[in-house]
Amino acid sequence: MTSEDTDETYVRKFGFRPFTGVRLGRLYRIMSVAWFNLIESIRRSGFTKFLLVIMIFNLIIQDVVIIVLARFVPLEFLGVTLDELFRGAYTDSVLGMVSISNRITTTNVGWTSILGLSSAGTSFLWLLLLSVVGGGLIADDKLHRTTETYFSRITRLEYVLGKLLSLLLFSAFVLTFPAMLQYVLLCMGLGVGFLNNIGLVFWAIGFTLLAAIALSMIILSLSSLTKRRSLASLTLFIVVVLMSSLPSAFGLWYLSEPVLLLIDFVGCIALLGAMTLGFSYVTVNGSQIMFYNGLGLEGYMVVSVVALIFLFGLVIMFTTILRGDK
Amino acid sequence: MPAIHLEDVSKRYGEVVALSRFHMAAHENSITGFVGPNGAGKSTTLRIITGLTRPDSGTATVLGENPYDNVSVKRRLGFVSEHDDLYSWATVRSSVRQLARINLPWPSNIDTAVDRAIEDVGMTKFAKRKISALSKGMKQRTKIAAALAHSPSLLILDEPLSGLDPLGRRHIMNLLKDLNKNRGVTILISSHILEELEQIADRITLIHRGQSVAEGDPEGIRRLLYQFPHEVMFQSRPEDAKAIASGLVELQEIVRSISFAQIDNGLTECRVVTPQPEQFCDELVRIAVERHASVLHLDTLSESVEKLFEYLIS
Repeated sequence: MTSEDTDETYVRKFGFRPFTGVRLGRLYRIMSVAWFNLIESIRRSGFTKFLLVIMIFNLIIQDVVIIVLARFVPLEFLGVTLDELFRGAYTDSVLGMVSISNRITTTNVGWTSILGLSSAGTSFLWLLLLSVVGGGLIADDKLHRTTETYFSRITRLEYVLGKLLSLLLFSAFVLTFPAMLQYVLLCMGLGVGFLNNIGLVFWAIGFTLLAAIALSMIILSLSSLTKRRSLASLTLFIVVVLMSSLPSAFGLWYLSEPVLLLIDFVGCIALLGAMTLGFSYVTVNGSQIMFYNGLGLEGYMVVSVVALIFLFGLVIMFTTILRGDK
Repeated sequence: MPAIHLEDVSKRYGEVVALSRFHMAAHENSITGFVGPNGAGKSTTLRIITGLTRPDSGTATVLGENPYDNVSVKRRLGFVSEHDDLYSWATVRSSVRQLARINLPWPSNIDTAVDRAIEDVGMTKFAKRKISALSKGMKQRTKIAAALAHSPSLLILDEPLSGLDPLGRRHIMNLLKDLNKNRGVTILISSHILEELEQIADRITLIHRGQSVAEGDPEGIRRLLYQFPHEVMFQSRPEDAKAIASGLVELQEIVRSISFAQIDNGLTECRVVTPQPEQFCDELVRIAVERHASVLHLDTLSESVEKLFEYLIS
């Protein structure tokens, strides 16, 4: 079109070339919604791009710490086998990616907690990125009234799943992929065979995705309740950080009553991750938590909190989005 | 078989009755105009047709199926909302692309489909421009491109001409005519201005307070509206008004009543009720010229759609 700004030109040249073919199924439509939202969320926000760059630097530092420690700390000095060291280091590092301000350790080897500490930055950045990206996913649609356009093309369920998937893809990129990469780096750094602990990779994938689904549902729920993306983003970030910080803020009381840890609902996902690996106890901020001793914080409580997060997310998200006629 | 068929459809939002035993039909390969004042139930009807909402009672059939949350219908449907529902930060191209991708038939090339749709609406030059930097008309064209890109067989447009300048309106109307004529797309277009749709629609449905008050071809609807008593007001100096009035008395066929009033600035205001305002204005000018009288101000007072529909119902 050379002169569409003149009155009649574009109409005169207007040609109809309809497409024919098979209309693809539900999964494709969900993927379409997810992919567009993922790409646009990153592309439109300079802050998101900045955070992603910081995230990449943080991951490099985290991985370098692993390699350096693995190279220079003599195994005899630690008093554990190579395999135990590997499993402890990797588990602590991956749990640390999700546990925000509370540091969770599964081994008695002191320095593996450093790995958990090094991944603290990852967990904060992940939370921040998820808040920034997810806060506007539904709020922006409500603000721009784009939901009607979507609903005229796809079902409400596809819309919700598409939005959720975009956050999952994002989390997979900033959380699951680095977790897998760390496995490879740690294998190389400690000289452990790649297949020796391959089960841990699947655990890491499942665990990080579980955490991603839970947090994604919460941010989407918040996003579906408002038209202001900043409100949804800030609410999630502040609530999660506050809940995570409160237990240790109570100081000595927390040490005698570890049940307080339950209010850190994101940390509970990390505790559940440790439980699924078969650990009957973990150390949180230096204090030992027994899951099955009948005292204080128990395993079933952790499971209940995680289930509640999912229930909360599902109920709000689906009642807000799926209710058809207002 | 009609592409759209609504039979005895009712819809209520709490205490508000949006549609009451409403019926309408839009035939395949036709352009159907859907006219009604604000709050008449147009948007609710379009929401039912696009499957966004479910009628409380009655039957809605679109492309042979129940449209509510029905992907089979949605795939073949292009919807242009009355709202500015484009992301302000996105470009024209990305806006069209995101929606085209969802329902584009496989194996079509998404880039080709998007470029064609953008070209079809004459926006190629502005494809990389952000939505926030577009005029109202350009936004409308972008929305139409997004609705067209996946080759729908039914295009539904909710007030696409509102807020456009005359040139923009002409562009959109030409575009819709060509879409229907050359591509066989069935089009349902809503507006609260009848004159706009008369130029392009094959059939027109008038809706008021959730009920269809008239349905037919534009000529039939126009004939019906000719019976509507429009009110025309003009102001003149008293002696000129008297001269014109003596001439108007002879126009018994198009003048139903005349009333005079003295207004503050010393002029005489004359109000005339006529079923044919355009012809009346022509006659008024003729009489004024013949009698060397001048008309200082002329206005049509009763063009409100609300009054028109009240008249149709009565």
